[in-house]
Amino acid sequence: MIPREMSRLGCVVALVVAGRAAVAADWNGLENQGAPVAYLAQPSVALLSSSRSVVVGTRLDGGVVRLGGMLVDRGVWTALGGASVDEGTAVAHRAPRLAADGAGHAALLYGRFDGSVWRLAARWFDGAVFSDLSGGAPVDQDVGGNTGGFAGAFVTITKLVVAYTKDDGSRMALFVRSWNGGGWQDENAGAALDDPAGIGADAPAIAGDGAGGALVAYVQYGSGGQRLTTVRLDATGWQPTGAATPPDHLGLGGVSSPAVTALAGGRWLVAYVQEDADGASQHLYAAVWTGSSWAYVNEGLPLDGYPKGVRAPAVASDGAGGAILVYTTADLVDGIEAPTVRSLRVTGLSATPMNGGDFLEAAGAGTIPALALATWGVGGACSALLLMDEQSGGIDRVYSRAILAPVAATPVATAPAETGPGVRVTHNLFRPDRGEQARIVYVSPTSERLRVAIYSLAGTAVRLVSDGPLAGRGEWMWDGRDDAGQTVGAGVYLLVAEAGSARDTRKIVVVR
Amino acid sequence: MIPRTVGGRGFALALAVALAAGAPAAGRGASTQALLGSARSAGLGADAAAGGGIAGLQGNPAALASQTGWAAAGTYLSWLEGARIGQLTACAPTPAGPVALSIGSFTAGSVDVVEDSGAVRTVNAQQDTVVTATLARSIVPGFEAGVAGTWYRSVLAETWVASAASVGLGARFVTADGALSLGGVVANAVGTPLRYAGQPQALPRTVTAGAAWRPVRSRLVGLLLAVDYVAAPGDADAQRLGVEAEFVRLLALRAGVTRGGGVASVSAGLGARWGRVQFDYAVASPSRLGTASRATVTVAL
Repeated sequence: MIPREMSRLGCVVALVVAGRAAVAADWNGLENQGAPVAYLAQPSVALLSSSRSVVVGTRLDGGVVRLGGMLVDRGVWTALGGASVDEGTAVAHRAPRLAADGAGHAALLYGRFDGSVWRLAARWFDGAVFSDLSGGAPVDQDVGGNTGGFAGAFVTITKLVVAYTKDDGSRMALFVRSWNGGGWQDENAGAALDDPAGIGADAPAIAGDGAGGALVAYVQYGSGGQRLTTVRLDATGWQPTGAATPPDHLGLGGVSSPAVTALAGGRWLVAYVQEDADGASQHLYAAVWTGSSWAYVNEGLPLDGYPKGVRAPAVASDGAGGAILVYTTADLVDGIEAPTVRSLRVTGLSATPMNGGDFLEAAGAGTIPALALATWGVGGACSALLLMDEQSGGIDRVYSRAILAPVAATPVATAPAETGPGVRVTHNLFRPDRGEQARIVYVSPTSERLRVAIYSLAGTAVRLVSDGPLAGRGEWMWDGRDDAGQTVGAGVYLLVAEAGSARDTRKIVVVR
Repeated sequence: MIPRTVGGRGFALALAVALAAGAPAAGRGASTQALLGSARSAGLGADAAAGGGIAGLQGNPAALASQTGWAAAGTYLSWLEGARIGQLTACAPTPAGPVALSIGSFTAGSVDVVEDSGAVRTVNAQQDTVVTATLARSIVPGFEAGVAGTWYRSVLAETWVASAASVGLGARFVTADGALSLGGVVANAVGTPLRYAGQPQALPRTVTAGAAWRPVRSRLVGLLLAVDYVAAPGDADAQRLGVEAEFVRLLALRAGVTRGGGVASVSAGLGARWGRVQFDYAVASPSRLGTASRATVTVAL
């Protein structure tokens, strides 16, 4: 599955040995001995494994806003060449966004000004360098002068879904496109997804559950004010979650900065900032989609506990069915109001402070305009990397804290496996007599030998697809023929991928 | 009467022919029929000549001729990737010879059908029903013949339905001292094709020749060696080799190996008899894809 459809060979494999799942340990101290780990603004982070991450942000290059990147391997930060991040020609705008595929790779989304129009562009990170994604084709050729925001998430190991807003000529509207190894495809038949359509949509956030599902949360501007709205992708398509979105925030002072993550069991967590009607204070709220309705975390009370200044929430799954939530607030530090970073652990429908209730970072005289959080959580173990963009004197400095996968005194769970190859089959019910083919997609973060073969359900070898070292991402098509070139009979076949001692099996149905 | 030593030579010849003739070829999808059979047959691997009465009729319809009296058998198979088979068989003596009726139900488990759009729907991959009627009798001393008529209904992905009927033939020759037996089977010798979606597909006409040799047949220990050679048009030729050791006619241990299509499978099993009840269990590793377990309970009524 890899989740249901992600590979059991892949990164999602965790071997629970015994006992209850371990919980995430608390944050460790600032990395890099307290010095900035990077000089980037608007950072985004994706965990490639439990110990490797990629970070992308914006930087000034001769007065031009460009992209910069860092590779983080077991706490060691290494700069990625600027050209490898953004092709060396782009002018970046808006916060770049990374999305990890769960198999050691990530997609990068960023706004790009190409002389006359803004494009929503995408790049592929294979674990070492950035390269073109979808042949260099942008997600959207022209986002209508600008985009109000964008975000992407892998909903399966191979399918990237991007939510973004663009001016469609009359208003800002929410659109979703996807990439599944080929070109960019319209989701929702290319129609805008903000339903009901209001004056505009802005600031989308998206998360995938790894099994084909996704949730987009965005701010909807209507005649009555702003409201947080969500739309969900399931097996039948995009579904508005409707009136179940937090209704009592409609018409109040304002809603902003939604963040979303998938929880276990088909649940989703949305965090957002709600401004009071008088605009004097901003508070943090969170709600959980339980499968049929929304339920507020902490019974609808603000999660922050401080009078004002909440901004920039970020959430990520903790690998144990809950989530980690970070945010900034205008806090009193030694009697002086200062931007601080705090974190919460969301379990069920309750949120409790992490770090002993103490703040993680205080900006002093500066500000903290952005946070970025990513986790690698499986089977109760959790690694997390938090980036804090601290701006002071016009310079952005990124500080980081991390949670490493906890090691219990008596092992209750192994750490997540390092990234391994995975395979997935789409169009796995096909009619070869009509020229149809099954599409086999693999991702292999290392050059490990990968053997892929097709067997009959009785165990007879039918077709050897590949047998050798493979690195990166690729695909094969199976036309229903065996190794002798004969079309196989109707029935169920097994696609078996083997790498080392690991094996993954997918069923293919041939109809004739 | 054929001397016992001739039995050993005959088996050695059959073994050499079977192993030498095996030219691995590309495989084609096997039907549910390939998965049917008792745990004794599965553990032993080679069953075209090894007999077995009601427990061996799936491998060779002629094996039913050695069944005396009423009997019933139930088999449950847990196969790869959630596939399962349940099979019930009953047989009765008639003036024409033993007659058996078998009903098998097969499911290939569920499959997540993934569209190009990424949408996923879960359906039952394949569900089949197989009904087989078998008649066998001894033609002349030492020579048995059987005929099996099979009706087959299959549903793919809960959408495409096909049915077919076929007739299979089997024969078995046993030397007077019982040391050597030779068997031949033609499955689906004649029949109607399956047609799921317009393209008719004939049930595989599989030809199996086998030999079984019992070099040791004392009260305390019995030893059986069996070999089969299997050929089917468009499918992989296969060779199957099995061994069974029986102790005081109460406990049997079995092992088998099948090779063909470039892959090999191993199986092992045991059998225990208590009065009129026989219990057999077999575990197999088809092409190293996993393990499959099969259990059969046979009752002589």
